[in-house]
Amino acid sequence: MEEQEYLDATIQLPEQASTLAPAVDSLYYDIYWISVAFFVAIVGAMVWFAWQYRRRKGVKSKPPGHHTALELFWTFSPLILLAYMFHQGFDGYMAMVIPPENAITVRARAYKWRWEFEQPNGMIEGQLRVPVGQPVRMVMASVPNGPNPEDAAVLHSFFIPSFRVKRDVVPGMYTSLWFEATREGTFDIYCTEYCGTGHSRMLSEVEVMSQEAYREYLRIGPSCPEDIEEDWEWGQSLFANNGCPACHNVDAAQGAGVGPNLANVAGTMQPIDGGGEHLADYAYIRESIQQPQAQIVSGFTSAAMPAFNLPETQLDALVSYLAHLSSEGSSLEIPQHCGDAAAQAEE
Amino acid sequence: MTVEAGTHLPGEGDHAHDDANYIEGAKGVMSWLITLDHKRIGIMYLGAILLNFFVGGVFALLVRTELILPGETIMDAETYNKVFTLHGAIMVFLFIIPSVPAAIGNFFLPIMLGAKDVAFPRLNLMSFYIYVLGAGFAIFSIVDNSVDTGWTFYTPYSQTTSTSVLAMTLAVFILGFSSILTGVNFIATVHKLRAPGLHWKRLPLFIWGIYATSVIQVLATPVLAITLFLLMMEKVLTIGIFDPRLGGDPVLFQHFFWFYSHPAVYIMILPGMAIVNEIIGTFSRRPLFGYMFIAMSSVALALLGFLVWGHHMFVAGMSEYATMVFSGLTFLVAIPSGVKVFNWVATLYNGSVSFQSPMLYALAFIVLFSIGGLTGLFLGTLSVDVHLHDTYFVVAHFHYVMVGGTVIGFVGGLHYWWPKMTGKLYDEMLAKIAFVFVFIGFNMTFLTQFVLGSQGMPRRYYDYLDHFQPLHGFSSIGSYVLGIGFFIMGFMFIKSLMSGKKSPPNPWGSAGFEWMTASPPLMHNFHHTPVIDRGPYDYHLATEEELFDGFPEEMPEGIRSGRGVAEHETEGSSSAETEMEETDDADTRDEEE
Repeated sequence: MEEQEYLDATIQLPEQASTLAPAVDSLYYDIYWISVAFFVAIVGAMVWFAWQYRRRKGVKSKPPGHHTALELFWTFSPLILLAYMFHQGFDGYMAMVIPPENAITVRARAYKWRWEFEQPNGMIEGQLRVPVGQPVRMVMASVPNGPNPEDAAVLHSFFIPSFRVKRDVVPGMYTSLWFEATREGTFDIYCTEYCGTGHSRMLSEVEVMSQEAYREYLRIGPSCPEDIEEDWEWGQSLFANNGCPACHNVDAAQGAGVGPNLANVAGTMQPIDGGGEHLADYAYIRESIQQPQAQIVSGFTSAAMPAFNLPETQLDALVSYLAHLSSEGSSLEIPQHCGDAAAQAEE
Repeated sequence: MTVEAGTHLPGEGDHAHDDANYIEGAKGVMSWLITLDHKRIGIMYLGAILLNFFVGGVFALLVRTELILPGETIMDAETYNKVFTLHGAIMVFLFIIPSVPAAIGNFFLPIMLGAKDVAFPRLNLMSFYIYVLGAGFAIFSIVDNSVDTGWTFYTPYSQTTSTSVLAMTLAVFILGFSSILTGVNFIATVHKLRAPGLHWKRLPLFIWGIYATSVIQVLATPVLAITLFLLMMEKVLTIGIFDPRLGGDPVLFQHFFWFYSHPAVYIMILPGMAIVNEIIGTFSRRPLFGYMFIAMSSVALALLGFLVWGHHMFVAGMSEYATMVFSGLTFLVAIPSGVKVFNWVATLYNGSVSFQSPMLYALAFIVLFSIGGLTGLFLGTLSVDVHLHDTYFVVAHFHYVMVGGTVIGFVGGLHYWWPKMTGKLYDEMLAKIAFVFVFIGFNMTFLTQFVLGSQGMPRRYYDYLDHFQPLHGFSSIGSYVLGIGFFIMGFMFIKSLMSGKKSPPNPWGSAGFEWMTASPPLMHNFHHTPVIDRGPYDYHLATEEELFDGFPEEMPEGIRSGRGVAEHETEGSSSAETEMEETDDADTRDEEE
């Protein structure tokens, strides 16, 4: 049986990182060469005739006669090529819109101006992670940022050039697409339907990993980014990327914002609304992120912090970050996910 | 139907000015502002259109300058989104749609038909002021808070943004009526005011093109008006048409919008093609090959153009059945355009081809429109369009057809008919230099963008990933070259107005009917209604006199040989070169005396 080859990037097209790509590219190049041929013929004839019949003294033009047969020929014969393009295009399109039976479903939500991906087990991330060699169906929705009219959901479009897939994300309905990735690696995701000021920064990435790594990912969450050595650094970037600074200051001098200041919190006793105190240990801090209202610090009951059901590994990293911010933080026992020590521990 | 000799249009002046041209015939600003003369109305439109082209062009250069490097270059994201939106909206609604019909069409349609004016001169003036009113609302919107929705106003974003959408959609709504009324006027004129002997099969192909355009304008523009009206009503009355929170459907807006806007692109291209017909005929000194096929292809484009709007929406959330139908019909609509291109090239065969500036633009049209049309095939193909939709490939495609097509055609027409409209010649050397800058600059800017798009660069992006920078940078430099070309062209035309040589009635030696008048034409075009006894491209039937009447003795030979005004020939007498046969038939055409 013939092994399908998945080509690397060329000048015109990105690498073929999904099973849909080869058919699209082959049709693209068919149309390209047909176009080149027609262009060369048309412009060639134009230049040739313009030169051959350039105005010269004493040479008159000759009126055209009737050439109905020729005209009918070149009117209708291109239909053959056009029918070919149409048919191949339709064929390829139908393959794109009918997902295989064994596709797993990942949900995508488009906000102004970020993507959110929910894995089959409910885990939510801003980056898309999928297994190689496994059909994945994306079910997509456009979500408002808030209840006000100016925060209403707008059109977006989910586009992965390397997979050759694209579909608009439309408020009020679900749209979907599917793909099967053919190589491991990271590929760009763009929003490609204009959606306002942040349209061009509504970027994400799809990380394609081995099926085994994907199962592990579903179990404990994403692994620490390769360029980060310390867990608290990962936590710091997650803190920034999940909107936490909107309510929480981390510089002790700045005091509380909408929510408590988080410097020197980890490892200390916190006053709880309803009376009493609680040690801000690993378990308490994790609960405060996932179920903020459960044991909320007194004075902040009306702050209305939303729940963040981040993956295990990311929750751990955030706790590491808060521990790093506190003089009492070293007393916490937190699972490590970054750097060599963590890699050995996870084996 | 003949027009009585000596009939005057109101406000024309007394009989003593019978020989005055339309520029000098009546003096004063008011005589222009309340004129009923189609030529003056055409000139006023021309001025407005060129002004809007300049403004839209400035916005284009701002866009390209911002994109020359990633990240913030000269403006922030919010401003950029307004700038690209205004570039599109101004170019589409204030420049390109009116450009050829309202400026050149208004001027030449009646003359080519042998008529004194259009069927409804007052309606014509009203169309102009409706255009001005629409432009006024657009200016208000721009200075108020501008618009940042893209020229397509897609919902829900156009309803949730706080920019001045209401004023701009009102502007476009009003401008639509200018377009509709012009279309009505032209259709009536072509049907009812043709000179004796001018049957449909003898019509200049320019008329066929403008006629087909007018049909589209009348049938399609009301749909845009209704769509924008619904958009405005939804915003003001909070009714659910496009808003899903109120039970509406965002995709419905796209259907309504493109039902107009796809035929609109044929409103844009047909007049450009119409001009190319005339220029190719004149500068090949030969009738157009396949006249009937060209004429009928214009009608076919007008009709088929209404059936393909869904090809803008293949990934928008339509049913697969719908995408299949629209893709299939889109391929059909490629055929009439192809027919025209083949016929233009075939016209050169056995012709007598000269290469003055109007012809350079007509030939460039063939090259650039071919690229634009062929890249449309990629976009009509469903599976390939999934990859290319909403990328720079689309941006490149439509700039090739709209700029490489319509603008090049419009500019070629401006060069071609400039001596007729102004009575002056322009500097041919400057024209050729400008052409080179325009052609090279245009291709630098937009050929690059096909590659950007197929590599995955999305459109309407303020910022972009670093690896796209080389192509973006090159494209931006190309846009400056293009800008220089237009600047040189503008300088050339202004210089012509101020100190250009006086033009003979027929500097290009064309057999077309409009050249049988003075340059500039009389106030009422003809002293007596012409009677037509040949077609507009019948070089073998036209007399030497018709082709070169009124030729001042001191005019250099170069014009007739086709080598341009600037050069002189020292040998021979003029009539040896082109050697048109004198017809034996009595010349029944009553010409300008």
